[in-house]
Amino acid sequence: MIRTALTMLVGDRAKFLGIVFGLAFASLLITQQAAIFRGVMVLVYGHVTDTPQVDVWVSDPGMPDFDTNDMINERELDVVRGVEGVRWAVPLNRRVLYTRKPDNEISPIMVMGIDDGSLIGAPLPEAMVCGSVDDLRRPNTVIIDEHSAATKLAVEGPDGVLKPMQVGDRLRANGTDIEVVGICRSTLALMLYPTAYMLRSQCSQLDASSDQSFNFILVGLAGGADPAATCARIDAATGLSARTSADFCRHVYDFFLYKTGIPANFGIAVLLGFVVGAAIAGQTFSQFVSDNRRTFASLKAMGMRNGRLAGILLVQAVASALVGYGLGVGAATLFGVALAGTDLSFRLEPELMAFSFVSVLVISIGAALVSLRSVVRLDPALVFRS
Amino acid sequence: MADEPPIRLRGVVKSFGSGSSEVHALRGINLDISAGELFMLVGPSGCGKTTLISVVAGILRHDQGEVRLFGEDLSRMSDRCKSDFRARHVGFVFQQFNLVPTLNVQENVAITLQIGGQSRRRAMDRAAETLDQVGLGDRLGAMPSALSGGQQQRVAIARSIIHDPSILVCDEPTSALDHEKGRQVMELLRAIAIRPGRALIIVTHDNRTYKFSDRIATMEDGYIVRFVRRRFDPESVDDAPAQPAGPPAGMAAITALAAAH
Repeated sequence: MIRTALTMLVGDRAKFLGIVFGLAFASLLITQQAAIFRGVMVLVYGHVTDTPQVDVWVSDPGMPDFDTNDMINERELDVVRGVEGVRWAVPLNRRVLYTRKPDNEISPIMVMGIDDGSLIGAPLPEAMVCGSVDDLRRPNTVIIDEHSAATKLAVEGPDGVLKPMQVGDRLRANGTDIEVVGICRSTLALMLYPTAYMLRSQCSQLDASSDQSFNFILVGLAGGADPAATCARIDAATGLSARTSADFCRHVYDFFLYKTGIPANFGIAVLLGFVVGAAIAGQTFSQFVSDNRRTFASLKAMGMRNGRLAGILLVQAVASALVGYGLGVGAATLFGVALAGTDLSFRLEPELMAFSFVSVLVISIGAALVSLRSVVRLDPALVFRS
Repeated sequence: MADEPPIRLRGVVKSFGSGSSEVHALRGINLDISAGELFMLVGPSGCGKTTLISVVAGILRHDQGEVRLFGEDLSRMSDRCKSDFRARHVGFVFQQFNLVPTLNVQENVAITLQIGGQSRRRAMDRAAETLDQVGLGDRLGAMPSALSGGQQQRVAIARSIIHDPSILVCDEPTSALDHEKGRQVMELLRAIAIRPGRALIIVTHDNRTYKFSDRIATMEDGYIVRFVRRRFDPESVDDAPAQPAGPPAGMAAITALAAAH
């Protein structure tokens, strides 16, 4: 009966396409919006995952997220260095600087002011596209991220064509020329500012509002040190908040998940996809069943039980869901491919695809169940009425 | 019970609605239908013919009385049992053919066996044989919309007999067809549908088909008011036009219970 059910479904081409369109629309919107949401949410802790050599991040306990500038001082850094289990501790100064490009355009950049001595917090050697991290030790130098070099920091030439910023190009900040000495790969910043790395001392010089304080203490643990216990000792000794890299990612992630409007906005879009898809698919499926009332009545009269009729509808619903889901996810994947290299982050993960499939299946089976009621209650004597 | 005919109705009553809007569709029907006979049910619209065949076919529950099909009391069967009974023992031919428009001819015929639980392959093989019997062996893959009305009705007949049912219920099988096609359909029914052990009931308005019958019951207002027994004469079926309906005088007429009222 499976083949018969499928033949019945596909045979009514207009209805079948209507049902599949509704489900594909729902699948596309749910998958695409969820993938963008997931992509955005990964950005919020991108700088943490870009510095895997750091075991523990220490920040102000009142700091709710990664992008808030609450300051830590040198004395607290010294205290952390003295905590049992800490092998090294360095400052990280993270702030926004306004720069002027060679084409005179002003561009804000997110500067990671790394420790002058150790360069911890700088891009890893394998993340360098060109240039060297050691070049940051030269005065007035900066490393910028590859994506921004080709987009926001691209320089318009005399011919009007945008040219990616390259090693040797210069940015001007607070009246000082700073030379680009390297291009690196890094996770995009949530605020979509270009990411730049320079020495913390230079960052302080360029930022007029800067004092000697900084945002984070980056900690490397001694071999065998218990991360949780060391974090607890840092908390107790400094009054600051120490978290392992994984915990810190979760902390930042949770802030954006629960305390911002980002999930609600994406959630509404996903819900809209679900509702519109359900409306189109449900209405069309209902119409399909209604158009086939006489067929279903005939099958009932010929002895088909309600359970078997339900099976036919479910097969049709699942088949529609599979086709609609496939088209929707396929379109979402193409959308993601088209977004590659742009500022819009898109992260299609297996969990999202499963979520999308379950959503489409719920819509489809829901539509079938609603229609099933009318089929179960269908009077087979209908076949004798003209 | 050895002499009990395959279909026996006693005092069957069926009403629709209630109070002032109540409609008495069947008012105490007594009816026996023998195996191997072509039984016709005639009468004006609204007289209860459709209700009666719906009850006989087990797709409508009667209010009072007894309906026995091949010795089994229909009123004691659950809906599930009645579905199984219909799947095994009842075949249907409908006025509007009721073929599934998205299935081809062979699939439409095979579906009867699939409902009965047979595999698709076996059902399709059997459907091909049955379609060959009705003269459509060369149209297995055709869609119903590509067939003429007469051909569609032949597909419907193939569908109705493929599982070798004991009861064949035909509702106005010729009313959607022209005279020639209607005659061919009736000839086909007589040729392949009638056999010992099977009761064939045809509801019709088409008086051109009466000559194919063995017995005619006339209904009025929920009663069977007249039975006419005919002798089927194969030679007479080519006569055209057919004589209007009406029980020839002197033929054995059995008045139904209602007639006494």
